[in-house]
Amino acid sequence: MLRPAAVVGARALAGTLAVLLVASVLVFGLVRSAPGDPVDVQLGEAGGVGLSRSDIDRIRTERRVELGLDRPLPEQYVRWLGRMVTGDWGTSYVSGRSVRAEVLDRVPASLVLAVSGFAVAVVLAVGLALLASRRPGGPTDQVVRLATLATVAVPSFLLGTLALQVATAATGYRIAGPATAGRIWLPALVLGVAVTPTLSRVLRASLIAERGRLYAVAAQARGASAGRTLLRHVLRPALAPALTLGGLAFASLVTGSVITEAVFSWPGVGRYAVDAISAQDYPVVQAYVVLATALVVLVNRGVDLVQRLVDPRGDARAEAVA
Amino acid sequence: MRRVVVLVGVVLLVLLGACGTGPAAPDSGGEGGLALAVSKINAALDPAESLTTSYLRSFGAGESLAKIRPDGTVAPELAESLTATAPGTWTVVLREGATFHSGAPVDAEAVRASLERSRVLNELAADLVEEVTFDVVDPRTLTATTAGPSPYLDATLAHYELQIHNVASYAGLTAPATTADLTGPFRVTAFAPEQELTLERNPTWWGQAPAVDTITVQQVTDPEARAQIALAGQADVVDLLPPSAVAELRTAEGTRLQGAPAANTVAVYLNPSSPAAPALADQRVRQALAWAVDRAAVAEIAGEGLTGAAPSWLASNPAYPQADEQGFTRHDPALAARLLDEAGWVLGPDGRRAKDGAPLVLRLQTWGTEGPTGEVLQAQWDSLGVTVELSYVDNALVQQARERGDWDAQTAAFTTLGNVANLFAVQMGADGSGNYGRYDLPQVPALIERASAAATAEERTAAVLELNALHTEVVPAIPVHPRPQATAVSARVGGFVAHPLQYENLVQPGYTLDG
Repeated sequence: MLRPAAVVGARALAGTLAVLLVASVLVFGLVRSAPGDPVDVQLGEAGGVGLSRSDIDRIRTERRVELGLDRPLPEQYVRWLGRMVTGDWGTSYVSGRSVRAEVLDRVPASLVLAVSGFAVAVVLAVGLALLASRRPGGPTDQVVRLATLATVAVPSFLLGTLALQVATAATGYRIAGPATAGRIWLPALVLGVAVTPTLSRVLRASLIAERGRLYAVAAQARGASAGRTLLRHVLRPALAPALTLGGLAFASLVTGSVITEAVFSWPGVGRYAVDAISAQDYPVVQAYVVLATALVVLVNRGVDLVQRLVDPRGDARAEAVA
Repeated sequence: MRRVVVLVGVVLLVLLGACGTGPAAPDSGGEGGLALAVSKINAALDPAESLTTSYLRSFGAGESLAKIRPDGTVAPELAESLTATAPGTWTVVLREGATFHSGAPVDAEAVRASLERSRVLNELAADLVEEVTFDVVDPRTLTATTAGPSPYLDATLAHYELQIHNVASYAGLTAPATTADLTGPFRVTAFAPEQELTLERNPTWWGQAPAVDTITVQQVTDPEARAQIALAGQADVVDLLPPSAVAELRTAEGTRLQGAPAANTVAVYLNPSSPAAPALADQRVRQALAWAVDRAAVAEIAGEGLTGAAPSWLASNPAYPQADEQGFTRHDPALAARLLDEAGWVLGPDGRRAKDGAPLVLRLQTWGTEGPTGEVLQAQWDSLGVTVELSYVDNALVQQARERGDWDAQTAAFTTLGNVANLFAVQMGADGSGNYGRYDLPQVPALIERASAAATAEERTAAVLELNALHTEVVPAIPVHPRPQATAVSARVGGFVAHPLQYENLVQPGYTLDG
């Protein structure tokens, strides 16, 4: 018997809120337990100005009061959570600006990079998986396997730096600047290439498994060509496991393409978050982690929905089990 | 499928439209335009915001009453003259006709208001002008008075924390300032916090009109990306280049590697109270470690040849060339070995030094740009029989270890330019924030008093050099080398003058541009 949509929705919402609450506690605790103090970071080498130790202690105490860091941790947490819920994400210790405004200012740049990088990854991964799965163990499959393994082995910063060197010399690619169409292709390519190997390997394995199923063999027995069988019958169900992986990859591209953003001076949220971590800018780091968690949860829910559209057999199986 | 592709395309275009609203990227500055790629751009444009003010100065927007010359001496800047008219009084005469970027006149009342606003809003500025009273004498003249003698007040007034700004333009701010009303040769025209800053020539500047029309400054946090920008000629001035790129930049066409050693002495601070390294309580051990440092080699290897040796703490200050003759002026491993022998730390058959069965082991923490220095020191001290456990950590961990007292040796670099007596108080005073080892030296207060208040400059210099000598005798920190500065300047930029203060190496009003 099908559960009412409202019940399913309510359970999903409750689950999402629980995950966000746990994430908020974790990030708050982790950030506060990290060594160092945001006030010390702000003061920097204040000794260069000539401050004595007692001056610095006094300033530190005053600033901690200003920032509310002198209050008990549970009180700080409750205050922060209360503000987050009402849409006030706090004020950056570094810039003095609204964290919400700063994050929202950078989200479009990260989103466009993630979408572009993901598009590159999907095109490459599907292409390579189709090539490799045609004859498992054959020469093409071996070449693709070696290429994907080699790509996985190259760290993102190295891939980015090398791409930057080559593109700068060959095309005059502009390294610094705002997030514009003229600059996006290279970081998108690097991000896409970095994500491709895992996606393509999963898709390849899935394609091979689906090809061996009875319905695919029957289709070929009825005279369908290998290509038609692949595209009309096998590809869609084979996408299901890759979709889960792709969803997670997309979420990590939006929130975690930190190295790529740094190497390409891309003004996104990832680089912003890393700078905030260095500066121990608590409100920024906390807001970033909660938003990143929310995005991952949302993407997962979205993937669940898409999977039902791509392969409705999953629902039927679940109902049968129920 | 086609609909999906179209939809993705539309979404991408919309997003690009949303994020591509910033100013266009510069084409190497273009004719008459200067392009900068820097590690950091300020988050706001208020010169009373502590520690963001150096950016305004480095980009040519802000000025103080005085400035530090490349040789370490002080020269008037926005002031026409600064004169010590009595032991505790300086008279400041402002430049005639000087105006803020908004066109408002820079008169004595405006300057006083600016200094007072910095004092109220900026703790670091407040410390600089503590117990200094500013009084307006006439529209072009004001006095700065202190209770006691203040021979270094001109250097203090040259500090970037005391940039002169139009207080009226910052009145009623409820959010970080996004406009600036200063007096420098360039004025801000657009600002994206921590991303991009553009400036144009200030037509009303009091000095000779700069040859540069516009400046575009872009923040590029990744050092390797900055190196690529310099190599590709995509910016005219690029700061804080990574050591790994120095060799390539030296031979690159179209760009020159510049940079005088900074007036910051990289030193290894020693903890005499460390339970893990009790040897450091012995002055002879600290001296031995200092004599065992081959500074020329450290400077060459770790500093990529962009710096030299600092035999004493003050040696990185170009205004005190005598400091080059003080302290650890040579590499003397034999003397180092003898001092350790005398202290009872003798060499064993395994090539390691020990005393009463305890090995001579030192934990050295480095951070920031000083990692390579730590590595070379580890090798040099190892050859003396001292085992060095080297770690490269975040500054937060360095500070945490210091607060807990759980540290042996740490690298750090402090500026040596400015109010030198005060800077020595920071290093050696009982309450000095740079006296990490909490050395209590009874001679220091009297020496600082002499350095601050002696009647003649010769007497003050003698006291400063005595403080420097005491530093090399007690060795609260082992001076190693001035912090190297690597700035790439494109060949089309003329008039660059290397400066020991990093923030003076980016925009200089005397630049000329070819092509």
